[in-house]
Amino acid sequence: MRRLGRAVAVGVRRSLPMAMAMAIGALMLIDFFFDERHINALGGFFLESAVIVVAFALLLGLLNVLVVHLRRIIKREGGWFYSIALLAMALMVMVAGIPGPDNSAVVWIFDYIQFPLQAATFSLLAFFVATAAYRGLRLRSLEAVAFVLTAVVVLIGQVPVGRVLGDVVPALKDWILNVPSTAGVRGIIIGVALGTIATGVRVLMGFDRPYGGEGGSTQ
Amino acid sequence: MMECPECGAANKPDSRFCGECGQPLGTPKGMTCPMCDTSNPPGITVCRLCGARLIPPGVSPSEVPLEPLKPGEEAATEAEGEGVEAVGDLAEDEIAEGVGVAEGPGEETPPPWLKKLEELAVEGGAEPEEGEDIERGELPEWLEVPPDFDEMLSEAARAADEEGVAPAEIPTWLEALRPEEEAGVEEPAEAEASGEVTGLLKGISGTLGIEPILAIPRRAVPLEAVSPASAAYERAELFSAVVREPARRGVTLTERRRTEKLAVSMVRWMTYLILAAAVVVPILLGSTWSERNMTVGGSATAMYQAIEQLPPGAVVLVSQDYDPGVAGEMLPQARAVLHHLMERGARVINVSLTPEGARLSMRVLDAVADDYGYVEGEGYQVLGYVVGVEAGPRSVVEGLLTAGWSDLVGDVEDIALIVEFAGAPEYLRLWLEQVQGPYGIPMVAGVSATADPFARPYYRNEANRQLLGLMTGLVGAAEYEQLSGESGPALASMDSQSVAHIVIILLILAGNVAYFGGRLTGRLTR
Repeated sequence: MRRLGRAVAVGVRRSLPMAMAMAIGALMLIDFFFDERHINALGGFFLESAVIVVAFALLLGLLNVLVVHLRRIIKREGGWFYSIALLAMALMVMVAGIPGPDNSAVVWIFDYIQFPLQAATFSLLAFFVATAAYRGLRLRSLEAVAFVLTAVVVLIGQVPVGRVLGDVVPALKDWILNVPSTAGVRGIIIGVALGTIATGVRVLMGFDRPYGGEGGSTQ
Repeated sequence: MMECPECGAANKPDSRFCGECGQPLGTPKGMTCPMCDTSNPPGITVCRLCGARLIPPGVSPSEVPLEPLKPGEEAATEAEGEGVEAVGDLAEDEIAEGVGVAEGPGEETPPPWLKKLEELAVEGGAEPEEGEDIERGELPEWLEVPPDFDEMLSEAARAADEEGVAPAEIPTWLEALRPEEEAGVEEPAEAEASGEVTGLLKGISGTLGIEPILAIPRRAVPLEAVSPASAAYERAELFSAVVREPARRGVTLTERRRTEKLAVSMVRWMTYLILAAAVVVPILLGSTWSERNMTVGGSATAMYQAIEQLPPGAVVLVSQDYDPGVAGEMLPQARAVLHHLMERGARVINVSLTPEGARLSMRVLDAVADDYGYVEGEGYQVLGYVVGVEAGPRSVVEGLLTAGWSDLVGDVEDIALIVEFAGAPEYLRLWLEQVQGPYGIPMVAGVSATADPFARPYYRNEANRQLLGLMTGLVGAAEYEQLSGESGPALASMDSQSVAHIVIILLILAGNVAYFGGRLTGRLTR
């Protein structure tokens, strides 16, 4: 009897999420392709639910970060003092945000700490590109010559000074962006789309189960 | 259903692994290794874990009953008489295993190899009693070691010493496997025969002693005289000279290495300084050369035209999906487009799929709205941050159409245009896939320079115009400012960008000059 109950529990645990995923996935697919009032309403409900679930997932992520760093502090793991800084900052922003996201303290933290830090970090890319241009773009082979020539044409054709030099370079730049580059990216996009369709079909058929903690294939 | 031996979970009959705990599932016809208890699939003859033999030699797997035979399953023993020649080679443990396999109260017809074993045992004088049932785990009488076995061995050894034991006959097939003696290698002398002092071989002399064989190394084969080629000999001489040369003074090497490091570091810092100067100096000088000489590309013009054709009071959904990393190029874009929209009298609904974008967009929106006297809630509305996954953009439109998020929109036709500012291609793709395609709302986009290649296929789609216009990076913002006649931060930055691009091209040239110069110098030195 106990074994039977266990088997039933295992069956429910495996089958229920799969059945729910298949049913809701099929419903959303029908909602996407057909204009039927009731199905559209049901699809809208699940859409709202997805947004709410993702919002809670963000909260869970925050809690996870806090727990991980708290554990590092308790165990005195390497770099635990950085974890103290992280926890202190997180608590500070959370407390400042209690009145709302438009609170002046939150706005100040964003405008004068987060924004300059993130912008400065990304700006370093320009310096790395400059050193890479000097040290890396060497004409060692035919492919390297093509690469460097393309880079030079796009760099000149993109800015006003290149456009003033003549029409040839800007036209060549447009051709590079519109023909070879677009062709390559189209291939990537179509490949990703086909992969997405295949993955969706596998999930809808129950071959892939990226939910319920089991995953993998039954085959 | 098949039950997992580990956790007891029920699995499909054909499952190879337990769906609950992941353990491999043995099939009903599998065999458990007698040495390590590993469950093995049918058809293999040795254990996959420890390599122990699962069936006796000379018996094909098909002859081995994988489960205790039940009455009426005698068909399994039809291959009687086949492959019994090698039964005489069975080791003691294999005999015991064979007994274990054939055990069972209902067993009446033993497999052929066991029959042969019993016959051999009968010939040896250990005939079992007829009809005797063998219990599990017990050895039959003919396999049991007699209590006076040691004495029997001692007597046999004594007799062998006295009479001399005839060497065992080696089968021809085993003789054929003997390795041929290598010329020039002398086998170590056999260890002095010493009798075993313990175990079943106690008292028997002539057994192999392991240690002496391992301890005595083989003699090396004298090599034939080698006559190397003259070139190889010269290289060997050179190598020998280099090896024998006294080491150079470490101080010199360290100094050279330090100088090289310093030179590399200097080059890097010089590069940084040049680039920084290229960006800062035109701004400090207040150069406006680009403002006077700016030309506009086709994609930015198309975007300008799409907004220019909007009727006054049209509702435009603006999504600003970027973070501070690309704000340097995205904020000027948003500023230029919002200026144009409010100049045209459009009503703006602002949303963002990134939390940072929600805050950054407010900076621009509030500033431009002040310029044109827009009031929040009437001329423009802010929906804030919506999670940036597939459901995000669609939930915005569904919220506008069905949930009454805004008084400006009652039907999908009310949204005249979507303007997407994407710092990364993912956000553009979300809007195109989830909103532009299904609802058929016209759309234009401003993207960061890194996202441009991924946005261009949608703009270049002639069959189905997914993007009516496209604006790329800071240059796109400058083009838009030029078109609208509203000079702003993008046009003011164009001189810096022009000089920075030229500097990078010069750096590429300088790097190649240094590279080829170094190669030429090295060739001349050699």
